[in-house]
Amino acid sequence: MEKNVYKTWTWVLELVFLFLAFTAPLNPLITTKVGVYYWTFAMMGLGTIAILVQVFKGLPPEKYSLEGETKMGEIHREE
Amino acid sequence: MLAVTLILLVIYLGFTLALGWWAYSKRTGDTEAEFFVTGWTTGFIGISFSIAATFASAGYVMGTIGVFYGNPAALTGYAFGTTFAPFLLWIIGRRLWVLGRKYRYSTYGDLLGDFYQSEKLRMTIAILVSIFFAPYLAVNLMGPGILLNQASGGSIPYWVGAVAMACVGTIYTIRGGMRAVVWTDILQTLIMVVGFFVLIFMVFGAAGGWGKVWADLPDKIAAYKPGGGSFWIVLSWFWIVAFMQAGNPDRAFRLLIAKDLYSIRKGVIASLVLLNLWTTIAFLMGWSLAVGIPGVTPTDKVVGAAIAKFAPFLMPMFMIMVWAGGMSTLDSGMIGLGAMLTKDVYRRNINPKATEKQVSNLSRIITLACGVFALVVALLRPPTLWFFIAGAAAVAMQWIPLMIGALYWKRATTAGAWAGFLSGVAITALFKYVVACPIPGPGGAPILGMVANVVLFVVVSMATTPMDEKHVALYQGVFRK
Repeated sequence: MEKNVYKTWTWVLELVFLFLAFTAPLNPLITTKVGVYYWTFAMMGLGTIAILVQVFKGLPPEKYSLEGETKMGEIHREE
Repeated sequence: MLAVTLILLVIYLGFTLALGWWAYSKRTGDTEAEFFVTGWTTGFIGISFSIAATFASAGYVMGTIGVFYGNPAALTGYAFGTTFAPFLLWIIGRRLWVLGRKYRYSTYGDLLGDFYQSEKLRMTIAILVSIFFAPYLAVNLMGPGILLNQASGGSIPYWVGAVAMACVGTIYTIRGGMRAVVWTDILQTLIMVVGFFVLIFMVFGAAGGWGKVWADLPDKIAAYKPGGGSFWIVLSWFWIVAFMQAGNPDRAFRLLIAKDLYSIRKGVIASLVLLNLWTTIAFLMGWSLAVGIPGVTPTDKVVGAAIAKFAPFLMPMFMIMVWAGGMSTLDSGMIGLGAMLTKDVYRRNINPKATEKQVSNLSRIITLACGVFALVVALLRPPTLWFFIAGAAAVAMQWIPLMIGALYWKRATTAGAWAGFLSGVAITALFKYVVACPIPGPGGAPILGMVANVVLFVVVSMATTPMDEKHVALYQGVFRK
């Protein structure tokens, strides 16, 4: 199976996004309202890129089989 | 002005009802699948607009904008949350839709009960989430009722607005099910987007324009508190907003209604755009209101106060926006709770041999019961609006780890699921309702609950016997590498 490097990039981008977003209030460089909102909208941009990478490259729709479809309400287990 | 407001409201309610009725005419049949998941025929516009409309409740139009007005720096966490939420939607949706189509699911409980092989777990989850979520329905009747009462100078009693909205929302939801909910949600989203577009121009103009707003925006509310004092509140807002979209049963079940997997993907992208649009609108409104009309308390009255002061002719439009926000969240909540109580509780645990017709009829009765319950609670008027909103989402998000476990983790076990979910709900409820939470903001309690949930879910799963490989393959093995 070929390794999907974009899958790694998806998680890297998402972790970078979360780290930079969460630490914004602790960031010594963000001390003014201009800094706060420039940073916020930059993070929204980064987060958007991360999701586009996720849905198109890193974690695209998987191939699947609907073989064995069942009726609504049917129980798929033994209890 | 009151006459204009009332005429517009009647037109709005009539059109919404007609749209819901028309949606019913587009049904694929009188089946359970049609009622709960539109017979798997919804495209990405329906999915994304419905998620966006449900997110933008009456509480958003009044309360959330007010919070942005009071402390926009804290609400940067909200912005991060709306950006992250689609990530979770896709993580869950890309597999849940396939399994839902294959095994005919219409709730999260369908998958949880089947994968973890426990009807008791399924019913417990459905009942707990319903108990904590049901009061949230009422909130969406309260805002419109209060606003109509205020706009009429008290001449129209509060209950009139609440009753009118409950009747219209319940009638078209019972009639058209999820299809009616999705179509009317598209309408509500459009109403709110256009309305906010007009309001932003009005408020910025009244406040002196972009340059003046930006120059006069007080640093004490628009910048982070020194010394990292804003960290926890930013994290708290992130948490509640990020997990709410994939956790709340009123919108998360949209992941099951798509016509194909690619519609889910496009729906997630469109949701990202719309959720970020709500955030941007809230920032723009909050900033301009903070400069244009400072000092309004409670803050959820600030938008109405600004309109009354600067452009009273826009009050009818604002009224429609609040009603649209309330209606879209009310109908989604009713159909979500209706699905859980009908399928997870009745079909599986009370009458397993129920016919499709019986289930379909009962789902309508339960939807009606949800509407009546919401109305009764709204008429009782619990004192705090945000108390219920935050409590609902805080508890509902506790099934997300179990969902991800069922979709991706082979070592997830039934005992782990029990331990994780119950501890998550217990800790969340403890810090939400009983003792003061050490983390401030609406996401504080669910952060602690989620940590306990995930830790116990993983530890207990690893410590107990793995589930049968063949059984796990029925779910996680459906996907070809």
